[in-house]
Amino acid sequence: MIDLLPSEEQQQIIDSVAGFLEAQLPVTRLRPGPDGARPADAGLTDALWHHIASLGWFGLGVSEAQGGAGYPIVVEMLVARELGRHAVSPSVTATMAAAHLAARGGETSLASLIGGERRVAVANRVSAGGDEYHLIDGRGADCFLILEETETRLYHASAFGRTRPVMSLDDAVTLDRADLPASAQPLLRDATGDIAHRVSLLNSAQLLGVAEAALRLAVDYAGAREQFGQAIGSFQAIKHSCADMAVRAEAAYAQTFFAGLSQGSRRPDAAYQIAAAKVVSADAALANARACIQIHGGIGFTAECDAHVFLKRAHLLGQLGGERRWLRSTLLGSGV
Amino acid sequence: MHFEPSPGDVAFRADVREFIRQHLPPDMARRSYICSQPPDIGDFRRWQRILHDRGWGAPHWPVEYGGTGWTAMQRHIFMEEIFRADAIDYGWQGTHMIGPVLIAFGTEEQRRRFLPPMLRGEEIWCQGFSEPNAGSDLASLRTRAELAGDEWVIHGQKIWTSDAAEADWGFFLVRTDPHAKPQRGISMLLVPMNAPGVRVRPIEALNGGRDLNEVFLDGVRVPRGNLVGEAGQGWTCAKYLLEKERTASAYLYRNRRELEKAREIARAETVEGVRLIDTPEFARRIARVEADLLALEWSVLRILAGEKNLHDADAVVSALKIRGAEMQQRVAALQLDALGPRALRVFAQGDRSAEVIEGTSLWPAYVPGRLGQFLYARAATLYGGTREIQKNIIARRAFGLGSG
Repeated sequence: MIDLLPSEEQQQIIDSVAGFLEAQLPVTRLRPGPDGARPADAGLTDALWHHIASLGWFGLGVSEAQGGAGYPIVVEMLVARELGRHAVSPSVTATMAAAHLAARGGETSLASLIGGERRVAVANRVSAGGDEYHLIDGRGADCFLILEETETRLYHASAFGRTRPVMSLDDAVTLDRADLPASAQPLLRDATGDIAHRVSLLNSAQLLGVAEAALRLAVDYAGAREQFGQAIGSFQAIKHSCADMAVRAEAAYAQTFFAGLSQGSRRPDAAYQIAAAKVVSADAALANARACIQIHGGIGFTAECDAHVFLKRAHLLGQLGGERRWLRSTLLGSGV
Repeated sequence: MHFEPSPGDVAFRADVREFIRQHLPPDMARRSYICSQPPDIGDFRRWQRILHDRGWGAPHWPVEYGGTGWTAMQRHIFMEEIFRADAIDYGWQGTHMIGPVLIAFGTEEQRRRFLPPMLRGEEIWCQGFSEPNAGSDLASLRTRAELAGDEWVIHGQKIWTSDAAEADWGFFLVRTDPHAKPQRGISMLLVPMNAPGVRVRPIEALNGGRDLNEVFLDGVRVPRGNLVGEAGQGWTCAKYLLEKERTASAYLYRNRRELEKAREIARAETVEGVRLIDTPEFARRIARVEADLLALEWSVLRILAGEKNLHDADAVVSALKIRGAEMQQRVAALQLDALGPRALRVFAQGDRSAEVIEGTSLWPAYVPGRLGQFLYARAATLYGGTREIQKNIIARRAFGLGSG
């Protein structure tokens, strides 16, 4: 039988991760201060990074023999979902994935990744065939993880040249453009698709978290905001929109965690399930973020309201680990 | 039932195109191509003056106040050519909104005072309707004005006022009779934005823009003659004005231009050697939006022609507003998907660096404005009455279905 609900132990992990993030990195941290400025690092300081390492998140899925906790991928995904809810830097899941990459190669760098001494960030190619990459939250990162189709590569930060800052659509991350010469050699590489699938699943789980957080924010506002003498959530236009958001989040949950289980059990159609999860969760995150803004009305269009955080994060994550414009063709090619 | 452009329309289009070619400053067109909305206020003033000098400052107004007397088809062609050339759409709050209201409800003195500088682009206008607790429920607005001698004294707060910091004048909805039924107690007042007691606070939008504002009115005094129409007629004026806004809010011409940009991006961007526009999926998506855009075009032409519609006029303009707003969002999403992973990077609004204006081989000029547009488009289903309110209007006015 199928059971996609978390076990008791998994629920405890969810509760502790959610509690930690709510205390340390609430979404409200991203609001502009009185001077209009956002907190540096979006609040993810070095101290907090080490704290996260001490909680064991970076080695969650690595075997106990190699210094990790030995949990299945779905547990890592449960953490990623909470990270998505709180719009935490994608560097956290990049480091989780890099730990697997290092573990496969029996690399000595594994301990420093799990221990939080080495920080991995995401690099994303700007256009096909080009040398230019976007470094996401890359300032202070030791390594960069690149995912292209089914191949994953880890580069030392020094492999990138001409790094210069640019503005990020998602202003909760920093963005730099940098060149990676075609001759640059990766530290680690996986072409089997195993790490790529993990990265994709962690992205899908974060997108699910975004979809769910946007739903929560919208429902709370619909219950609190009054117009025409009653809560706006009492109007069908609003309550049905909330229900649509719930339907999308539920579908994204089911597909994402089923895909996680299929990866864990090495189902032959795992790649297909994983691609489907990315499409369903990315669409859910974008649609829910848009609906969340709409339900908030004018205030939803401002930087003072948290709704935009989810729209931007949905857009960012949707672009990582497989372009949206090609994902659907992958799905078509591999499945039906 | 017929649709036939006349030979004169063809010559008219050529005239308009030639005028724009000769008079639209190329630097202005470039800025407008890169980031079309909101337009740069300085550019708007310059362009409005250029159009006015040709007698085209407000084509839709009656001739006696500076309009052109053009046919519906000519006005349509004019707007097509404006957007085709990346010229600037004419003044929203001014010639689009308060201008027609003054012509319909104002005194001759008000028309003589306010319409000419509006036409010349010398006076910028802003709108004070919404309040923090009166958004969709606009009739519950609480900003009040009392007559003290020959002056109205205004107390209250407005929100979502675009360009309040740059505007010379604002038209405000205020409650002048607290005892009347909500809509009946509302009046429209013209307020100089530099009057003592007017305070403007910018609100940062999600795209980083700072053109939205809160406006605080603390004992602001304006002459009795700044009332538009009669006391208690404010709601009628506002409805008239919002109808004008919604007709234009089909955003037909902007949508057409932006869809053309989506095509431009899809022709230039390739993945694995294939032009995006040659991929069946993307071509199909463009064609789907194009089909809806064509339908919107004929719908707008019917309104412009003043054709009698099967449904109530309020319902029809609300339908156009919904379609036009959603299409802005669809086209922006299409552009973004065409940009692929380039679209993580956003460019500062008003960035005039050579890299932005000229473009580079890696960052062509079609990139910089698109993300800002994507974010800005989120407001399209909110401003001028939310999509949900428009649907209520359609249900009520077209079919008499309830109020909820």
